[in-house]
Amino acid sequence: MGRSERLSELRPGDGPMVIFDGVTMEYAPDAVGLDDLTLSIESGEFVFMVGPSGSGKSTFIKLLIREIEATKGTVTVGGRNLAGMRRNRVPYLRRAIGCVFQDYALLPGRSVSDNVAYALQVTGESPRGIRRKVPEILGLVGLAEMSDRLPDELSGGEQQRVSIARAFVNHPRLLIADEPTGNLDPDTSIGIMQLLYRINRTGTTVIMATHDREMVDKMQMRVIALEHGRLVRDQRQARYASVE
Amino acid sequence: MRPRFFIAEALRSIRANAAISTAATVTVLIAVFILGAFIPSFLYVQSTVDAQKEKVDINVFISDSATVQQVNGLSSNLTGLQEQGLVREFTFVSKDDALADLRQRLRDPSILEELPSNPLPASFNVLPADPEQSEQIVAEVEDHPAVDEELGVRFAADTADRLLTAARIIQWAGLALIGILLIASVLLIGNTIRLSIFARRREVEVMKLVGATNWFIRWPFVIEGVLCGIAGAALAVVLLLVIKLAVVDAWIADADSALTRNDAATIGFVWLAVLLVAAGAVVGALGSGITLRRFLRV
Repeated sequence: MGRSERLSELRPGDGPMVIFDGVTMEYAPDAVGLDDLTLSIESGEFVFMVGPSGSGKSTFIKLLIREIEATKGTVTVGGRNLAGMRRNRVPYLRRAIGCVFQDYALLPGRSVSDNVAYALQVTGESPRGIRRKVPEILGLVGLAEMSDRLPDELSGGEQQRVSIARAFVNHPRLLIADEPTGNLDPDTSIGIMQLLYRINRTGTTVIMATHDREMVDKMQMRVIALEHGRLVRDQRQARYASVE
Repeated sequence: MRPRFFIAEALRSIRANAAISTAATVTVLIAVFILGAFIPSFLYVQSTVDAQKEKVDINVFISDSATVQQVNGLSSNLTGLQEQGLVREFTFVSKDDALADLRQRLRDPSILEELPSNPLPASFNVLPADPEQSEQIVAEVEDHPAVDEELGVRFAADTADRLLTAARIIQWAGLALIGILLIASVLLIGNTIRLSIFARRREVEVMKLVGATNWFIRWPFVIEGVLCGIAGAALAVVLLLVIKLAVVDAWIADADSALTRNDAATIGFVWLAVLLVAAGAVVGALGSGITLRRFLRV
């Protein structure tokens, strides 16, 4: 059941995973999150979203998981126009998108494996399937030994790995990471980055919003730069700042 | 739907939030206890007053000089009133009946032997269908030729009035109090649940972000509310039972007590217990289900 629901929300195929067409997001007349943004991200790409605080990165992500709806323009994810999506379909969209946040967003009071299992439980996965998939994914993120720990017993880097395991356990075709290394030291950040890169190599589209200049420069991936809600740069194999 | 998963989630959440779960349970306990003590008391007073109301009767005294035809005519008038629904029932009390009745009530009946003849009049004892309509019945019969001119028709107008006023006040005040208690307990319980959910709003947000549907999040909360509601109500019932056995039953066993009057009825304890526990469950379910709505709009 879980798998077919996921596929029904994000259509398979090699077309663009994400299309923003003239998207404007106005929170209030004088508070504009995005201003006429047009871009597209292909399936399987790895994209950095960069820009100062308030540039529209968070708005971009909230639009993708339909926490908010665009004031103008259309957002298309996996071939689906989110404007036409019924409210009760939104949970199914979110199951098809993995999300990783700066504050890890783990469920407190639940063990590492229960946190990962929750993402499977919401899809209606069988207890047998859960017993098989959770240790598998915890092994992948390097936390096989930690499955019974509680989130607050873990370091930041470990918590972020749990969060990535939870985001990836349903094998989404799109993974969104909002400042995943924002609270981590450089060494730990490299580990998280490698994990996201490995996930990308399985064919999953990864969109990562970040302030981490060093990381972006090292990775040499596509960089989308926003400022005041506008697209100021979209460059392949790029660095954090444009080279003049 | 997977009931086992949701029940396990509810139990986990009760354990993880023990302090707040206890607070909610105690709130239900207090509210249900007050309700459980008040409902039978109210019903008891109500039924006592109702029993008194039934004793408000009308005496139509018959003149000694009335002919048999006149008395029969009065009797058929009363039958007519009975058919109209004004009179519940009426009985003829002959002069001999009245004397026998008086004899029974006197401490020393021998003084009656001194009487040259029976001075007591015959009468019709009339029970109105509704004591409030007594005046109307009196007006219908008081001019009948069979009625004694001096004694006429008597009913305790003042007593009846006061009793009826008291009955109305008790009834409305009681219903109003039960209403206020119910509203207060729902608000109190709702508030406690709101606190509990507010403390966990980030958790609800995260659940929504990983793609949980609203009902997937709601079921454990509703079950948690029902469990706390049932637990609180059950504890209140146990407390009420202890008090009933220790205090009220002993009181009733006291033969001189007014509480032994057998014409006053109240609700049976088993039914009261079932009612209270069901109320606890419903209030718990509604309280958490409704409160959660605001937090599900992510």
